[in-house]
Amino acid sequence: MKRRSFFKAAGLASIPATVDGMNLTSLSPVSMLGKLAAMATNTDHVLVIVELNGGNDGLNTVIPIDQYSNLSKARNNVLIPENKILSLTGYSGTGLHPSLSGMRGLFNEGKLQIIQSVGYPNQNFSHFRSSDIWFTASDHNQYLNSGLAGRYLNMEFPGFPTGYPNTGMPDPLGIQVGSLLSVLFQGPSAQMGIAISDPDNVFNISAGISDPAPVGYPGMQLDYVKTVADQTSAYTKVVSNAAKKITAQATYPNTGLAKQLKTVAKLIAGGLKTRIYMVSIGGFDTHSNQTDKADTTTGSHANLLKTLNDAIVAFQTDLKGLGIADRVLGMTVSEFGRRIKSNDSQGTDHGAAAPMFLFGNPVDGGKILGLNPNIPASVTVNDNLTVQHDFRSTYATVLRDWFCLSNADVKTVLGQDFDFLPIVKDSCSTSGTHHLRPEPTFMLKCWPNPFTEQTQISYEADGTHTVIELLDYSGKVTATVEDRTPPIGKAHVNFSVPASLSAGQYILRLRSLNSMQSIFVQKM
Amino acid sequence: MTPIVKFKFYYIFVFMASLNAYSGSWGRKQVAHLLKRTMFGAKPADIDYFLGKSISQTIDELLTLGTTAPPPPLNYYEGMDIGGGEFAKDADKIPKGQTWVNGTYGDGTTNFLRGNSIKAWWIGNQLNQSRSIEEKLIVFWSNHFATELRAGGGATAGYRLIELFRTYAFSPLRTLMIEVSKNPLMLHYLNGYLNTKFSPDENYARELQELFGVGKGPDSKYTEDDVKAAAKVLTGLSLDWTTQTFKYYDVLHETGNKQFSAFYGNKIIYGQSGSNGLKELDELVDMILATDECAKYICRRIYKFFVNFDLTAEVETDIIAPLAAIYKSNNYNLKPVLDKLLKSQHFYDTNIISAHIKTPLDLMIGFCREGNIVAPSANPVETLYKFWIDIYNTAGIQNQFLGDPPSVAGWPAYYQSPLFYETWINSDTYPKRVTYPTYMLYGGYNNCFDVIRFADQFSAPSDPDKLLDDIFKTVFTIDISQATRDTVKQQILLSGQSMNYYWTDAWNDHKNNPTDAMKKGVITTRLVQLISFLLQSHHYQLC
Repeated sequence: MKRRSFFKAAGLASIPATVDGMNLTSLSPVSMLGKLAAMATNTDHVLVIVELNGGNDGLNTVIPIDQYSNLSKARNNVLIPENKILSLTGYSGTGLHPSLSGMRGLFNEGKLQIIQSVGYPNQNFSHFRSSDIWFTASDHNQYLNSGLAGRYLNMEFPGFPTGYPNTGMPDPLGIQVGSLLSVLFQGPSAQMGIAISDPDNVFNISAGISDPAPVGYPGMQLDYVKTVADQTSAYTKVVSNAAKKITAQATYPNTGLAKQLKTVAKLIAGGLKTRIYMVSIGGFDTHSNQTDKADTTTGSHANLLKTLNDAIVAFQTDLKGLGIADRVLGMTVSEFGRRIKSNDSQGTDHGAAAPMFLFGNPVDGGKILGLNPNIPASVTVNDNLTVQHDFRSTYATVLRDWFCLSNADVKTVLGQDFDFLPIVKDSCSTSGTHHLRPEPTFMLKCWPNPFTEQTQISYEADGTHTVIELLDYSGKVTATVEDRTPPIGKAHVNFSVPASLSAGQYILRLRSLNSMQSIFVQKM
Repeated sequence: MTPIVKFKFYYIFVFMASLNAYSGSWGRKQVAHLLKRTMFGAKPADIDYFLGKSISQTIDELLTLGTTAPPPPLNYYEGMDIGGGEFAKDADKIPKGQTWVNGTYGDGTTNFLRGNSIKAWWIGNQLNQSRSIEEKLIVFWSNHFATELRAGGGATAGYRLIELFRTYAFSPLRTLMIEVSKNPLMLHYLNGYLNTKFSPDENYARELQELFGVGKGPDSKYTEDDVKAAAKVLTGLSLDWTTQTFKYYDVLHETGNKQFSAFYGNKIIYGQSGSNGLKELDELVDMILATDECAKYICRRIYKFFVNFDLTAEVETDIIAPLAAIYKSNNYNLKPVLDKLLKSQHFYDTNIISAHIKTPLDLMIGFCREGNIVAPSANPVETLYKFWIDIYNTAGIQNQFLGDPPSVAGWPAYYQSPLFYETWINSDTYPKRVTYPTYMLYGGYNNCFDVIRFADQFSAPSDPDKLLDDIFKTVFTIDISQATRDTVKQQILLSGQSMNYYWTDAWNDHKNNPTDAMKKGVITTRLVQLISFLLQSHHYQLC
């Protein structure tokens, strides 16, 4: 029996729930918790989240070359010259910023995947609200106190920190390299991660006064301080021991991000069972002087992307040398992309959807999920990119296909269902076979397009469950065209367009177990 | 998803949130609490001073701002080795020991060094603060109208911004908000200087509402169109780099009318041209201040900064709403708000005292002030400035670089739910919060901390019971049990013995033979051990 079924049988299914303000987990005996923890999903998989703080300009990162002329109308003063854009094998319409040559190499080797236009409906343009949304995995109008990693780790290691570390989980559950701890690691009732800036230089805090904590807020704060002290003492030793084991690593550039990733590689190779690491690089809030005036391939954004590129390439090289590359999946996150139209200060203002990078050996790389964003011929300052993929789809997929949670557990962590994406090569749920099946050769089609009342949609069915949906500008599903398991072969559906659907542009998206395709369609 | 309740069951209990005047006991604990929240640490001499006054006199005095600003920051950097075989040279030829604040921009290196000079000077002002809330208020306003001194712009503009916070700390918010909007550092930090009618930049317009004005609370319903309209109002505001002064370009100003949403009463700010275009800024600020949400939002920030992180429904009703009414009816002057709050029952509730986790500045500056340290002399000037910079950096690596909060939202401790103050402490920062002050006991930071000078601040240092009682009630505002005191006394001050006279004799021996190194060593060792113990105890993290 899996740990979680045992857990449910024990009647404690809803971990975050409280009854009359009592946290159920805090009432459980420690020995019980230790037993439960030992039954956490058995995996040596690691997720590394790279935060691009400030809102990365996706359109200058992954560039829709096929719409270059519209781009040049909208953002000429920051646009990369067409002949400087790096091409990607198999995708002539899409290219990368010239700073990303190493990541282009990873893409072409099949170790990097790009997901287009990731975001959420009703984009919030505030940095701190939007990064909260990304890290807590909430809806745009929902306020959550806990982070994605916090809830996941709480599900796997209930009751934490009571009874931890223990023999089942002697190591920190999550580590943020640096001295800040993101809300990402906030669990329902405890911090599930720790911050470490230098694993080679740690200090233990001994207990001072042992008076019991008083009631109320002072007691709560004192308890918190004690918990951090206890955890620090318990974990700094294992972390520094792990760090000491690794004496030779690849060469990294001398940047903050590279140093953080070097620490991550060292700790993974040193044997920590830590599941999630987070590193961060700031400066992406490029309202002004994003590019140099004379040469748009240089400037602050180019430097940031180079720092990112060089750090990720060094990290991948190091992981390979340390023999742990198959265990580590990386992803970049940023609170939002930037406006399509640039401003007059050689910069770009807060925008909406943006591409994400998934990297590492486990990634089904060399692929771009989704379409190039659509750049209108005439762009106003208010125009933003359509969301093609909800950011929580990437989380859902990582939880299911990388951390091997059941669909039901993924839903518990995220609070609702999200689509899964073909990100992970040997996913837990498909026994490592799905990527071996042939890619569909017959692309999703819609004719007539634009349409009014009726249109025909054709595609090649791969024999797995297939869902075709019509998404509106904000990424919301407005109609479901297909939701069944058709036999292998060509399939056609006559789609009666709902009269309630307003005229405008939509995305038609097909998802099956093996593929995902999207096309732009238009209702007249 | 189920809403998640952070509190364990024993934290949840009802306590009164009342702004009625506090009339309970006025002892060392209450005074120390008040001083730790409104100043940096509670200096024993200040506690004694205010114990001789009533609560009302005390707060009247604390709410009195200085009549003159501290002398401005100086060129301490001239001739300093800045690496690469180069030595610092003020590009505007300001001589060493003189203030640079009236000079011109100079160059980037000069401004970087001047920026360090501001940070040092600011720490110095905090260390040498008078018995006033002034320095804490400057930190409050600099967190509210957050910028980054390191972000560029000019050091002079940075200095002037800090002085705006000092000058207008207790003036109508209208003045401060207008002046901050025109400050070159802010214009640079949030791209205001790039916001033109040809290409609006919404950065400042958004933060003026979201972070500086009406906040993001459930009743703050400004719209994206309001952001865009405000950006248009603000077009034309710019700066002069060389003189680091505000400059207005009417040709860049959008002269069309600006329509705002129902949240602002469908206000239209009519477009004006020529130099009159700048008057639209005043109208915009007035429009923000006319909302009820603005007063509430700033009172919530005051509450989180000075009182507690938890804005319960009861606090909203019984504290925030009446404070906001006071704030608004007093033309947005903070003084009557703080007067009401700091004299209230709620502020002295046992559930509020010690409910803060010290900020790194409270921890470092408070330790220095409660320890009655002796800073190095200002001759040569760089010795003192470098000492201040050491303290600045130490607080910085504990996640609080003064003047450089991590984002325009300020320090996460005042907004990042559910952690709030807990964001200051994690497995990385906690060891630093213990080790750095501990260095002071071992000669670090220019040997500024003298443990005997520390003990001499108290009424009867030769009596170990009285000494510990005074120390505990100065350093902690949380009650320490008799059992703990007895253990500390016996294990540290009496080296495991049980008779008080061992300590008394040792202390008197030293006082009678102040030049005897051995006798001094006996009490020094034990006091170092005692203060290390205080720093190590979890209670030390609270205030």
